Amino acid sequence: MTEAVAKANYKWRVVDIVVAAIIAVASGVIFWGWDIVCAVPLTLFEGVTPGFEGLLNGFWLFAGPLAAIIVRKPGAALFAETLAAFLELTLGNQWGVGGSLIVGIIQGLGAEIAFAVFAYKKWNIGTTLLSGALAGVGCWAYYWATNPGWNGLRVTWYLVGSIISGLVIAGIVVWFLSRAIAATGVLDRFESGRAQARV
Amino acid sequence: MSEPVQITVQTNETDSAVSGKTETATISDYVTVSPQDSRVEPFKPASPSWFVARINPVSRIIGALLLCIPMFFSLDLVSASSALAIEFVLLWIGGVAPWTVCRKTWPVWIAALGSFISVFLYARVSGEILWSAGWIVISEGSFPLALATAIRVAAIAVPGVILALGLDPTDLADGLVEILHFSPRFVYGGLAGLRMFTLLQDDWRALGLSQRSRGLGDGNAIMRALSQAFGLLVLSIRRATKLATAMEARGFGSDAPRSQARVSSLHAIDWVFYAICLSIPFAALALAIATGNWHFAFQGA
Repeated sequence: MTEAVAKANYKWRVVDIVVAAIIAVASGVIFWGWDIVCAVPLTLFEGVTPGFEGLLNGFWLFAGPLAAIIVRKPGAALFAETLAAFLELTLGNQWGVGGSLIVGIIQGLGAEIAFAVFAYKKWNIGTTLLSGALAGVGCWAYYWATNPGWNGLRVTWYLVGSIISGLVIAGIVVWFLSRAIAATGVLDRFESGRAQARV
Repeated sequence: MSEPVQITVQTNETDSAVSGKTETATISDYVTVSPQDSRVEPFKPASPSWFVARINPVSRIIGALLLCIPMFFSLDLVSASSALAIEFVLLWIGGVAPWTVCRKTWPVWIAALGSFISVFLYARVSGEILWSAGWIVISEGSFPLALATAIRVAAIAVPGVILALGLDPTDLADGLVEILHFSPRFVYGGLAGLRMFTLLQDDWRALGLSQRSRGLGDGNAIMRALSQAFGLLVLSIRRATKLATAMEARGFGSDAPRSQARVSSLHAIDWVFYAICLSIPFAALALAIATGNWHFAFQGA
């Protein structure tokens, strides 16, 4: 595995912005598709299990970690997750401004914290996993606020499910996806692509 | 469609007249354009409501936040249902009939149903326990709590969904930069990404066709979709990189001050809209407090 060489450059170039935006757009479409696919299973999970529907959250969490690990700039996770949520909102879904945009911003903040605590110098599988998990925590926080009537058991299960889902889809899958993208050579203008080439 | 109009490039003719050469005009001397009135550009209303269509896109986002944030603090039947009722009436006045609202927001009702079931079966215990099996605990307070949660979900989501309908990202971007003074680099960079969305749809089709023409992807449909999605992601990053270079070549992202092509500003109608958006949740909360039904959302049952 490649360990990013830590020479942090915090300034955003235009290419960083546009690539983060396009990742957000692609993710936003998947968010929206997942909204539709998920409507029925989500309702089923909510009825049959005590909060296991958190496991379905991962597909709404990955935009932030993916953009951050590719672009490697402060705020990339928040920017991408917010933009993806905005696209999801304009395409039309069941949650409106609250459940798309607000939750997107909270998830983005969660994903952002993972990289921020390492001063944006660590871009490895560990921080990606942490980022995915914290995005899951963000999602949980919003849904708890939406359903404050849940009992402790359900709140706990939802949190656990959301974190697991974030770890797997917004963590492991995102990390290997970013490596696979780097291997195609398309990231040659980014440090994330060059670190791979040097090995 | 009427006949295309040919526009002769004037400078070339005078050039050849001066030089005295008998040049036959090459293809590039003619720009073929269709007359303006024959272009079919589908008219997209900015909103199903005449009122919402007239306000600034930024106000629509802010208004939706004003509408839903106060509602998070209460969890009771009175505030949730009165807010929802007021929203329906106001939307009707604003030109969106209740049945249209229901049709446009059908997924909201599925989400509300999900919330209802989850709270009904797994609510905080209040009063006597009526039935329990495994993890499921239904107590006396479960039903009202579940109903309140479901209506609250709808009351929060319905206006947000309706306000977002037909929202134009370009107008919103102008508003974000000119009214809220967001960084134009990020807003227009993000907008550039959003505008590539339609391109991605074409790319998806082209990728599918090219896989087909190579005889690939006849097997597992999920594997094909995944591999095609990866191809699309790589292609879109490549496009984005190229777009960024093109934008920089035109001076985007420099420190020089920007001028705006379109003016985005707030008018009296926006302030009226803010007032309405604030008054709905507060009227609902006030009604709940006045009737003694108000319940703080994050307190024990």
